[in-house]
Amino acid sequence: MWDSIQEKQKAFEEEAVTHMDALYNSALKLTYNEDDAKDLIQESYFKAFRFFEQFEPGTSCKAWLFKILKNTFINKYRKKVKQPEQVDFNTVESFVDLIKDKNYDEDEALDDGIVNSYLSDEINEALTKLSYEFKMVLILSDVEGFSYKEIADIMDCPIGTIRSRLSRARKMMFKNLLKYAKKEGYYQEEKD
Amino acid sequence: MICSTVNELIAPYIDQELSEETLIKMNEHFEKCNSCRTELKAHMGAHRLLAEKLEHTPVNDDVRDKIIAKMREQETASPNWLFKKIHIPLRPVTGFAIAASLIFGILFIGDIVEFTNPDNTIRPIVINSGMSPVMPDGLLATVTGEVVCVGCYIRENYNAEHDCDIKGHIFGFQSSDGNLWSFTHNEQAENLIKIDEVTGKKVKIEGKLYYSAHFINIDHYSIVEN
Ligand SMILES: [Zn+2]
Ligand SMILES: [Zn+2]
Repeated sequence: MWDSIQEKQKAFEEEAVTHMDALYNSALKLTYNEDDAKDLIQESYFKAFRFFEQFEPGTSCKAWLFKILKNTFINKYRKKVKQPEQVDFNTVESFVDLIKDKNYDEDEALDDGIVNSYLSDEINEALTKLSYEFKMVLILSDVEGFSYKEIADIMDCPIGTIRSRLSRARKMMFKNLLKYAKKEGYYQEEKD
Repeated sequence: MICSTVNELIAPYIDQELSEETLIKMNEHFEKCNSCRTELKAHMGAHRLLAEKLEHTPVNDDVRDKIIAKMREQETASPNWLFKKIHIPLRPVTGFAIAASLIFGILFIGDIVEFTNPDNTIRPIVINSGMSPVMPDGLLATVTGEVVCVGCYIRENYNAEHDCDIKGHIFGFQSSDGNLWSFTHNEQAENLIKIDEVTGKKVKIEGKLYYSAHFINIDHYSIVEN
């Protein structure tokens, strides 16, 4: 495949190392900890390099790397990271019902100045409430833009499961970020 | 289309994962149904908010450089390590010998394993020594046991050179008598291994046992509550 280890390295650096930002970003969101995130991507990259022969040229290298990251995370780090309680898969709530439940105090409306710092804290806080299965699907779709098929391959799940997890994850995040969403025009209540 | 169906399809609608035909049906529904339209708006808002505002933290250059440097140091690692011969000592567990199965198609000669087919096809081959001559193949039976990863098992117990982080686990079955089994690829087995966190789940399997190959053909399974 490659005539020398140098050639393999060159190919790997061109194909795989370019995705390191994306992998690190996800690793950080999975582990909540810079050191663990560094270890996790380092380990994933070493494995990917060692097994680079198994990557099929022409397919998405980024998806392949994410699969290795996910497996490495499950096998090694998941136990270490405290997971929030599992939510009930079977309760299908609509966005509208979810939002109705949440009391929203108009007086608490946010100041423009603090909106952005508020948001990044709130988003991180909301993310910690998602268990790994939901968070991963959310990142793969809304941050990385993978197709459902690619996400299903990465997560080893049927597409139907991906679809319902994604929908559920977005709802949970939105519920926790409602105040901001309303202020910034991401959600307008229907006036009756 | 009824509202509950529409609701389930809102995520793929937004992510452009629906067929043309379904898309048209969805649009027709949104035109006449106020509550689904509201739901769509909220879901779109959530999607947009997350896509725009989920923070992206790049890796810092030091870390990147360190990883690259360490990778360059690994020059000694043979790129073709999968082809080298490894030894898996086989020790009998209970009445039968232990079965070991591996990915990539393997030729077992005694205890020597040679990888011959690195083309990524998952083709577990099971070897077995010291078998009982009395068990017929294709015997219908009900067995209970645990879903295990055969790859992890032989790595942990016999130091087999194997790493599940690359392609995921190679699921198999350890019956309560300690025997290891591979699954024949049928729909039941597919469904079983698709279960989230299937490893370690107690399962009752009805099916055909192929003792000489240590394969199990699942006709029906049920998860046993612990
Ligand atoms: Zn409707
Ligand atoms: Zn495994």
